[in-house]
Amino acid sequence: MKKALLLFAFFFSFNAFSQSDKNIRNKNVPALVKQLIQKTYPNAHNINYYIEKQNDSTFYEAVFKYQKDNYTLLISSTGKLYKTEIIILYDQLPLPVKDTISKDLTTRFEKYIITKVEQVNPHHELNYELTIIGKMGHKEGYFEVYYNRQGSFISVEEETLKSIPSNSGF
Amino acid sequence: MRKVFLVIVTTCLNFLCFSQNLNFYGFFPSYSQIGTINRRLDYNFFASVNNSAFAKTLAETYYPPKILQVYFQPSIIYKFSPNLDFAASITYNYQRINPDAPYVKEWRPWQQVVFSHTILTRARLSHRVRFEQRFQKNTLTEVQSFVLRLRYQIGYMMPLQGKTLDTNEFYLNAYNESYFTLSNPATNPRVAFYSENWTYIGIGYNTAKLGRIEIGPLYQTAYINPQHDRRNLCLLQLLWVTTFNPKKRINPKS
Repeated sequence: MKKALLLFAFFFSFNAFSQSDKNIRNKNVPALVKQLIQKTYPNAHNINYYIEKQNDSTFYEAVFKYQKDNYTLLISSTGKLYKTEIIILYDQLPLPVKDTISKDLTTRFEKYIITKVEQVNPHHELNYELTIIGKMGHKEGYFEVYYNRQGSFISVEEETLKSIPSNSGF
Repeated sequence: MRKVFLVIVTTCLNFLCFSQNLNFYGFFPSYSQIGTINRRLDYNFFASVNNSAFAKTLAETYYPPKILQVYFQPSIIYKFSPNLDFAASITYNYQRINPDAPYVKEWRPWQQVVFSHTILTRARLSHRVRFEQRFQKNTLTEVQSFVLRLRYQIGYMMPLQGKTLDTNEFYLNAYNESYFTLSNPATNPRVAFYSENWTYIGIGYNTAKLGRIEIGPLYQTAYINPQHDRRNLCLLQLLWVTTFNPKKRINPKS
């Protein structure tokens, strides 16, 4: 029985360190990572941390709510900020940017609804990621549309729909 | 306080004395494959067998270990949005309520809607409503019947090692499903409107090549007569879920 438990624990621990996007306890997060968040976003609380591995580099992902917006930060173990994603409302976009994007969407889609707006790296190379339900030519479905700081179009990707996994398998 | 305790004990004993519940224990191996047909349509094929694995004598009746159900369910899924699916199927079911009862052959067309949403950041809660038209035939008496049934399933799935379920990760899966018999045919009178309930909790592992493998206890309880005696089935479910995407097979480098 003990052997079986040890084997299970070994198997579980191996997997916990071999993959990306794993939960990590607050106490195991490097102090430099926590300091960066406290300094930049004072009073941010209920922070969930995840370990993410990209090309043999380890990052810490912090997910939290700050001043009514949802933040996701990607930080290195030395406390360097690599990426910031903030979910915002479409109306929170600067007016000229919003106008430019609206005009582009109207030319690109026959009809559309914006379901999510993400502001990526607001202090560096700012991008906007919009999730759209729309009709573009013969394609009707979900799209990710990317714009730069001025609201100029960068790219569009159609999202592949997956069926909802069945809990019972049938 | 003492009186209340006595009333509770007496009520419980009373219930135990008069109930003729049948309890069986067995296994429920099952296989499910999901594949993509096109941007909007997926298919699912599900097959399962369950049994009463141990011989039992209840109320002087001997119940040998027997297969209780063989189930084949091909279905088509329409993906309306990431959070809303519709599906339909014509399912074949060969089932007996207990090891002593005759088998019932059944063709079961059904239609369903599934809605899901995230809760607590990384978990997914799903709601499924299924409407079934059951064409049954008793293999012993040859009596045929047609029964309408509605099912509601609430399901909870949560990755255990991160925000999303990646390969080589464990997850938790649980659901509860309630069954409501809507029609009351003369050939197969209904024993209760709220006729059946299933509860399951399992631990799964998402492998890199073999799909998801899951194990957990499934408890099924069903009314078997108008006196509301119940058939309880405690099963150990082993579920294997694979996905098939023909486009990926054709262009493995893409």
